[in-house]
Amino acid sequence: MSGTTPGLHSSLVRTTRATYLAVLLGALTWCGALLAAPLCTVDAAQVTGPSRVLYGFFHLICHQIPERSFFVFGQQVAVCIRCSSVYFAFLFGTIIYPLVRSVDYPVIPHRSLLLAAAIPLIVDGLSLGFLLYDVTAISRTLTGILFGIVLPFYIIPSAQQGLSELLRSPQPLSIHQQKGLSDA
Amino acid sequence: MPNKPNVLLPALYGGIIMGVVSAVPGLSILNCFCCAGIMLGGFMAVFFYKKDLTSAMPPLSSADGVKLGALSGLFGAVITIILGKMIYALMGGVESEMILNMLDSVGVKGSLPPEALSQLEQGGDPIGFFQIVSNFILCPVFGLLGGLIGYSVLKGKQTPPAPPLAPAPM
Repeated sequence: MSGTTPGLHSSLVRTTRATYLAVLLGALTWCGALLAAPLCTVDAAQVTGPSRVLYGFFHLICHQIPERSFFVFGQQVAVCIRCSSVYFAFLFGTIIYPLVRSVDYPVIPHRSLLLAAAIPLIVDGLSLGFLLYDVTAISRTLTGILFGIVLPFYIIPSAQQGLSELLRSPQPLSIHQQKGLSDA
Repeated sequence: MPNKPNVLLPALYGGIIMGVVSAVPGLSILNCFCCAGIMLGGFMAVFFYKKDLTSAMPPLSSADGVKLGALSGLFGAVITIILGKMIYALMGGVESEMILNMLDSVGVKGSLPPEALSQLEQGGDPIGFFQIVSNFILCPVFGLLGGLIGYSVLKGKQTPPAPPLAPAPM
């Protein structure tokens, strides 16, 4: 942010913080909805009301096979173990993000870390199809957590940089403006 | 310096990939991996856009990733709905049959909740009002994530930002 006026700098910081909060709020809402589906279920034999809507919504993106799902108070979570692990680890990664990286100055880590975190998840997912090894709930959970916890460290700074660029004035700053002086 | 190419065409290509993966029976299983098919569309939109950039143009920016991901998600939602309707009109509930066969072969068909099982056995139109609304939420959100992942992976070397400028003394 060197070479920017203090006003512009504080506006950028506000944008990056707001972006972080938006991602955190989004992840909280998403994970809350995953848990709300089983928690809103009154009668296990007949899912109705908000639970039905939530299970229906998440059915579009997950097979919801009970054998491959976590259970909360005897009710199935709205997505499978692998998806739950990714989403809850993403939420955890977003919560701890300010402890590891500066929220105000977004820097995207090298892509090798993301690829290293994705490979076990992909291998574990493909192993089921090709029967390479016995895929268990533990392998689904661990590979999901590994990928999910790394993801916010790419998503948050990319979104922060992207929104800052989109909201910034398209006109480049003049030398006077960069020095904090008026053009007049 | 020449201007950057238009984002519409790469976003449309990404949307087509998203729509095909989400609507074609069998391929749509990819979305069971945390909407991987939808994210792939956002990622590919960034990939196609980067291919159009020449060395004389400004480099790929994260704002491009945001725009391409969200736009491809919107295109993807529309294409998924149209393609899903067409496939259902031509082939009927093929997807439900495929899912039931797959669940049967894995041996978990019997353990499905009765409502989910009857829904699959009826094999109704997969694109109702609820699915249309859901598609317009899921595709742009996961497309955006795909676009941001695409930017993170495909961008060149990034110069770390310099420390902030201290405010001028009053």
